[in-house]
Amino acid sequence: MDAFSHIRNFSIIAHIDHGKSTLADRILQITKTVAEREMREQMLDRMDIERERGITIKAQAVRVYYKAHDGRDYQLNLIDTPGHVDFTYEVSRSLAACEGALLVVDASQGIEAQTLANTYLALENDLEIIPVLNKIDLPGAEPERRSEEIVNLIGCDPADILHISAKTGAGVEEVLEAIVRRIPPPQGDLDGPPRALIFDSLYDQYRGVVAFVRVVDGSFSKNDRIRSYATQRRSEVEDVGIFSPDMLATGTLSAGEVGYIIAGIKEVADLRVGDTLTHVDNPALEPLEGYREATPMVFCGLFPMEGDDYPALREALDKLALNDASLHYEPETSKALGFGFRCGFLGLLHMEIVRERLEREFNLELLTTTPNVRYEVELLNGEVRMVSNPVDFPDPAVIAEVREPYVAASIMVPSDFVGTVMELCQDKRGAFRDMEYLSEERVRLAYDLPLAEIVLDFFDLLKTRSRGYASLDYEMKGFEQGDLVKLDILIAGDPVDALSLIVHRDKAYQAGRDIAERLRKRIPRQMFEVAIQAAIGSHIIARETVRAVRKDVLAKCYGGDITRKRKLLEKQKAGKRRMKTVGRVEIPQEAFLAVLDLDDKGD
Amino acid sequence: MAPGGGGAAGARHLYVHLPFCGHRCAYCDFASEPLAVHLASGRVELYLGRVREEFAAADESLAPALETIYLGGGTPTALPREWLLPFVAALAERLQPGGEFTVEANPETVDRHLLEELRAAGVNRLSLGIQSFSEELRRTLGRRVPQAAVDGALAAVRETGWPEWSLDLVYGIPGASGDDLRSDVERALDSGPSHISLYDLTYTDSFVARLRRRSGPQTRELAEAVAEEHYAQVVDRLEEAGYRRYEVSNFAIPGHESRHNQAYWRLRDYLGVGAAAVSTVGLRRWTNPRRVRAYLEGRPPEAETLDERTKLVERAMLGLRTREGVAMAEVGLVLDENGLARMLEAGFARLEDGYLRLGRRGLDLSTSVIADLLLLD
Repeated sequence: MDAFSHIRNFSIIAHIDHGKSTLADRILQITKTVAEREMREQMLDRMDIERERGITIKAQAVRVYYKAHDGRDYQLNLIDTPGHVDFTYEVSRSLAACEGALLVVDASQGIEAQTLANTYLALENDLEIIPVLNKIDLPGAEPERRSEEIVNLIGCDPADILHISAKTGAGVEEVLEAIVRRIPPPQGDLDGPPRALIFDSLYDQYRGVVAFVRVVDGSFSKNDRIRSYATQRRSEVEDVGIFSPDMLATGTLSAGEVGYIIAGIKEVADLRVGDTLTHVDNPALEPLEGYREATPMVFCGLFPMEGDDYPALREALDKLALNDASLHYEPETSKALGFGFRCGFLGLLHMEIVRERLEREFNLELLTTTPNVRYEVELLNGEVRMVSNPVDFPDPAVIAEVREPYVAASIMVPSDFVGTVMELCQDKRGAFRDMEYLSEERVRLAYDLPLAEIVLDFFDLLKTRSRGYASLDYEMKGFEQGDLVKLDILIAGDPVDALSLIVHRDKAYQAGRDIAERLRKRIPRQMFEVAIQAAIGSHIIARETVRAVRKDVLAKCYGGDITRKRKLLEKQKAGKRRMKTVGRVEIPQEAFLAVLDLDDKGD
Repeated sequence: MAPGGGGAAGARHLYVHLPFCGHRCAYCDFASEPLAVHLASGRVELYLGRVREEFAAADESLAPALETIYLGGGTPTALPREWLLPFVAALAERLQPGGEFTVEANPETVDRHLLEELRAAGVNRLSLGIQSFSEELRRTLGRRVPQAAVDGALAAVRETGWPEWSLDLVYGIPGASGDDLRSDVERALDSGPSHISLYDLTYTDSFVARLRRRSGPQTRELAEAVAEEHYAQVVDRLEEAGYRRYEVSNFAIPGHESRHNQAYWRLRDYLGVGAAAVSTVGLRRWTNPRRVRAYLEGRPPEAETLDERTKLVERAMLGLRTREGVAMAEVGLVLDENGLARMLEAGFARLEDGYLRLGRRGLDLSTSVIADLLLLD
């Protein structure tokens, strides 16, 4: 094992804003991996969206060299993981590539649900956890109380918890020492058949797919002929190296090391997260454990605002998919919205990110329909259909049973808010499972909840009702039967396909009323009175009316302003064209989001 | 100078712009400049000379005898009379017998003597900008005209016996109640004009800013809601009183319509002279420099070449605002079939004797209805 004694592979587990990126920046600085003048904030987050939102979407890896107090030089590989529940699987693979993890907790906020979930994930992977309390220099810091929580949760010794300030750099050196002393070196067979775990991959437009790997056995060198297990893709290594933090070719990567492999592959779908790489000529008999294909959980329609942009949207989705194996999409035609795509995502954040990237990087204006989950519908004739679009929901008369996906949710909340949060869970059809006091003032609640409720507005409501203090994590649990119905929205008597949604029967009336009211506020008054109705089957459950306009005149049209008036008219017509005409009613694009904006009940 | 040629006989309609005003009203978006400043610098006189030149030079674009002349502004009647009257008389020489010669006037600038002189000079139609009978509402518009001036002007018009005169009202002034809106129309009717223009208030950017400053942000919405609520009733009242709505904003005792404006709405060729004046002759349209100074410097007009289709769109856009409507045979090409079907079905438009016309509700909603009816790029 001497070959590995100088290597440490670790990741950082932290909640948003608890200081993960700052700590990573500080480590890069102290180890002089990045020259002082090239240093900027959030070094490892490369996408604009990541920097702006302070989140990590793609895993990143960086190798640093550290001369420890014992006088030896160590190679430390930091694997930075996405921290969001949508990417739990990616996180688990990143963790599987490490032997240890820093658990970074804000000393004033305490541990949050996702952090805890990821910590348990790390413990399952037998990682050594180094708890770190960050921001101890801030006035609100309560290191003793937070330590107590951490001790209760992961059962460590309070003395093992490091107290640091990533911002000022205080204690960061001790973190590096702890990594060297406490995290075990990797193990593996240097001479065995090569195996490498892909823990993430990204598409580079010049070089093709860059696979982020942890080599477990053997080594991978330039020109080696390799193949992947799950996708059975064969190719030749074009380049191999490490992140420093930019890619630095090394010609070879050996067991225990973390780095990248480029093999002339054009789609990330061919080198999937969790898959194993091996040699064609000296193949490993077994792949590494834990490969799973990512399945979409949340679906919505994406339609271009301008019908002409449909080909551009297709092209953009094709391009994004090169870099995102979990993005699913297929063409969809809506009576109201025209041509678009039905897309499947890992979760809401994933959906939001994809949409934002489509708009930002490809300059598209998009309309998103209300997100929904995939239902399992069993028909009377025994056939089972998976329905991920409300439009395809079968006639209730032929349905034997509808099943919907449930999650096991874990919610961390200050004890003051336990009552409200429990009420919310109840209201969202949750089934209580467990309640655990982490400390006197923090509680972990476990509920089984329908994913559909989480997709709609659960997270926002949770945040609002706990004044931002509650945090949520969940994992998929399976399908459960539910009394679900399709709620149709009719405008001037015509059902509008893009506004249909599937709801629990008990919620249908309230949802129908809310949506009708929101639509009334968003559909501008027109030449006619417009009736907005919500219906289940042929049964109308809510109605609102948009009053007709009674005056719409231009004062003057004389010789001096004919051109101007004509241009005004053209503009007005163009404005009308941007609306979707359903029957004789013009509906602005924003109205299609009416279902989503549950905050907007007032004004 | 105006590009030559035109219809075989040349334009038969002339517009002359005199952009000077004693005071600029907040709501107005016509080309207007301070009279006193230009008087002091001698530019008013220069301007009149320049207009005469432009008029003379444009001769070949004009028919020898004109059907209509319209002298607008600005406030033409604010000009020194010793210049205005000869100027008017010279224009009148080109008017054909039975032709219409309109002059715009504001109440504070007219008296019995001026009106008599104008008639003597050949003017036979007066357009009097009252805007509102309420001094307070006029102030909201930024028109500082004392009530006495309004009363005086109306008396002078009556005493000088104009056979054709129009009274302009602005409809929907912020602060006006339903009663105020009705009262303005009643008092207009009492004044006995042959023609009434009811112009929906146009919210120009500067007027919106002023309104915000003076009365707060909600004022516009409120005013628009009140205006909408009482619009149909006010229009009905005018029609009941015998003033036929022959265009969205124009009402006349039958036979007393403005022939000049009807020429625009039929998109006949017209020539405009003076700053900011627009001419359309055949497929050519040109716009003179807006500022007096630029006009005097002889800066060339901005020219635009229309295509047949655009002209048809304009013809339909204008014609659909009128009682007369447009001939299907003429504008069929630029109609949006779906929109047409929708508007016919809803009763906002109707087809009669090969003409497409907006109905009563259609005119009230004409902006949307016309956008629906026309096929635009």
